[in-house]
Amino acid sequence: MFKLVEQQAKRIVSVPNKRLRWSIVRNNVYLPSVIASLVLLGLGQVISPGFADFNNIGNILAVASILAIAAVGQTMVIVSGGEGIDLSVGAVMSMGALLGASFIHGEASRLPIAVVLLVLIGAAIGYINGFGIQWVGIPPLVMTLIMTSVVNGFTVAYTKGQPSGAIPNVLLAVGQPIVGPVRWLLVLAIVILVAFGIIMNKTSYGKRLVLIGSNRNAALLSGISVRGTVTVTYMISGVIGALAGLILVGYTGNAQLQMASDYTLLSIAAVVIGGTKLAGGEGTLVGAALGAIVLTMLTSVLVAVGLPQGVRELVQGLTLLLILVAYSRAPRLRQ
Amino acid sequence: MNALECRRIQKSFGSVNALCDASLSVRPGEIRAILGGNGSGKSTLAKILGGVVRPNQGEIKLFDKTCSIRSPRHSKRLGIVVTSQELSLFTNHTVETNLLMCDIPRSIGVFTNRAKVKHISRQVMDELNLSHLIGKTVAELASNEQYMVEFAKALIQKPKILIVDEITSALYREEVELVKQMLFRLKENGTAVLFISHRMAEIYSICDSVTIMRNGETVATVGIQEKSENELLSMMSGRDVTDVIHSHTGSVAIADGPPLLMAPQLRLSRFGTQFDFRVQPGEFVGIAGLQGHGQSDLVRTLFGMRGPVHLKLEGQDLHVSSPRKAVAARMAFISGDREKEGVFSVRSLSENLAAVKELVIGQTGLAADAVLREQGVKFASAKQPIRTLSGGNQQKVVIGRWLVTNPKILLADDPTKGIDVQARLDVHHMLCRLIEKGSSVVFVSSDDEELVQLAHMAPSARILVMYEGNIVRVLTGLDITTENIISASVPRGAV
Repeated sequence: MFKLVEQQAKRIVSVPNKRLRWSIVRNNVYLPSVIASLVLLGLGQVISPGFADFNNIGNILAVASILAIAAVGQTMVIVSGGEGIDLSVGAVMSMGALLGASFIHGEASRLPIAVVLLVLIGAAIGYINGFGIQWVGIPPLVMTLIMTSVVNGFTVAYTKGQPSGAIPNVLLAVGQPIVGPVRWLLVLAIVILVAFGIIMNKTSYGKRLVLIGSNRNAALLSGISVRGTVTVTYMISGVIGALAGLILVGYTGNAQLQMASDYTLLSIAAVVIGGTKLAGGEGTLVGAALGAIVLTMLTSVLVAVGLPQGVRELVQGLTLLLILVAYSRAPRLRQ
Repeated sequence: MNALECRRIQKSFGSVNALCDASLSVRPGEIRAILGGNGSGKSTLAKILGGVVRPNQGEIKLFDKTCSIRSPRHSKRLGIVVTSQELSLFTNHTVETNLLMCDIPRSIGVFTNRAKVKHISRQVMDELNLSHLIGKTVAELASNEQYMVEFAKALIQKPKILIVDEITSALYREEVELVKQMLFRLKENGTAVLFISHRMAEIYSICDSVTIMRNGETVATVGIQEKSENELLSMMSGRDVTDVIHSHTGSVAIADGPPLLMAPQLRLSRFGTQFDFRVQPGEFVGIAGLQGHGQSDLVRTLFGMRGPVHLKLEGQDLHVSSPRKAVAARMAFISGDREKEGVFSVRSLSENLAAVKELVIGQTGLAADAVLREQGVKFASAKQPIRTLSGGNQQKVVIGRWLVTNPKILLADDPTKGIDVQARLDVHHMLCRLIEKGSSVVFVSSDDEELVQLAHMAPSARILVMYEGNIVRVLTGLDITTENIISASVPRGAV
């Protein structure tokens, strides 16, 4: 997979004509992820027959859907530029899972109120992130890392570390199949992706966002409200994180402390694999979703190989490192 | 023997020729003035000697030995010290640490020898009457004191060749006198000095000879007593400059009636200066002067980039606290620094074009293709990213971004810097069309000729010449000539 990625990068570099080069970049930005997914799928089937059947693909897509949803917020934050990154996603998701379960308390009728509360809490967390970054001037990396421990602490304090009762069926339904490998989770993820795709590409907010990410000074001089727009972006990331936590609890059926902490790194990796530049200004949600599928496939294959957990995590970590190296190198070479 | 000899130095940045043919030789103990207008190549020459940039061609000889200066460190080892306008001080460190930054005395090879640091710095600072500054951090000092520290730092390095780049413009008279005495002492010890300054009086009192640069070339070197100020200025501009500005009653009209924009008591915070500024409707106001004398600060202050400012636009009070407020009042700002402040490089032409009109003012329905064609942008598709265009075409898109909003007043900070001749003319025509529609343009340029051309294209025009944060001369009518601009840019007589 990395070879493919590198070849891709090299091809991009070697095409002389700028316009031609652009069209290739544009047309092929998803290609590495698609090919990688297919290769991993084939590899899994070879190692463990039955890997590529409907049920397992359904499972993989379901898990990938949760990551794809979490990566929506991360994509928007990274696109906003200025070294924007949201390290609090994992903590916010864990919080969403635990608080969501606790708000619902086993009663399906309390689901709407739980959603509303989670949206408010997620927005508040995002607002604090945005305020710290835009008004106080704390670097995003530091601000959202601090927020991680604040949110984790808040979660433990609120739930007192106690499990919070049964998850109602209506929430558990997200993991249920509809037809073939398609589960409700996948439908939900697609709806969210389309909605935020429209927000990013068609609304005035989304257009401001990409311009700010591309050149913050030029945006300021154009009279674009940089602080407001960036803060709203962190708020969106907070809200999506909290709701993704609730969805996660629906899929797994139980909530645990820090259950989603891996999602911080995974969401960033998914965004980068999806062709979004860490420098900001451009990026797509579809790319991030494909990145989520690649990462989920990779984990599944490593599980199928039967490596012990320690080795699996090591391989996974090194793989992520390599992917980030391959993708981060490309833009610098192109300039 | 020459201390320094440069032969046919050539340096280009991309397509811009910063130096095309610079030759000079300086003897040990000679103080040589370098005189030249904006873009004449003085700073590039200083940077080459300082090892910051490397020349494309040419030969440098130090004490009759050919050498190529590889890096700032190498330059220092060769005995060249440059004091530059952009100070090389660490503001959070003390004066004495800064003075010895280039060669910190050590004890046992690793630890800073504080006693020695104190001793050496006290010696130099005493000579410069600045011993009271020892112990303070550079951030605590006034800007003239910082320049003196920069100068002291150069002295401590015992240069064989000292390049003083416009350091005196920030100093008071007594300090200039001290600098002069120190330079004379260096001279006795055989140091060669290149003295870059615009102050004629200083050049005459300090220097032995003067090299005049123009458009990247060294046009002449003469003994300082051989030429008068006017003769030097004529050589600098390539034309006849006379002392008195000829007054004509010109055909270029001065607009009257109620002003479009008034900025009473406009304060330039970097210089601490204050003046009234006004712009008439449909007027072209050119802002001229040597680089860094407040031209850029003027337009940026008006656009709310230097903190809140009180303006009167069409008689209405207007409090501009940010560029956003300025845009809301239909002001526009074009920066010459396209990369940093103009283009959204990874985004498309249409996105770049619509940035203000659609996203800030909130008007939709921009026909990108038609606008781009009208502005003479060479493009294939409005969807291509702007970075695929040439610099000139990029700037046309950025200007187009503002023209589609029909601004009442357009502020431009050297917008044609580094773009080719044709694109520059296109930009001029775009601005003229804007003026014809009744908007006003305030235009900063480091190219005096450009200002003169534009002023004569506009129905009514004024050129303001700035020096050290003040407007020192207002040119109108047929007085608007490059000679008059240059003459006003370089104040003569008293220091």
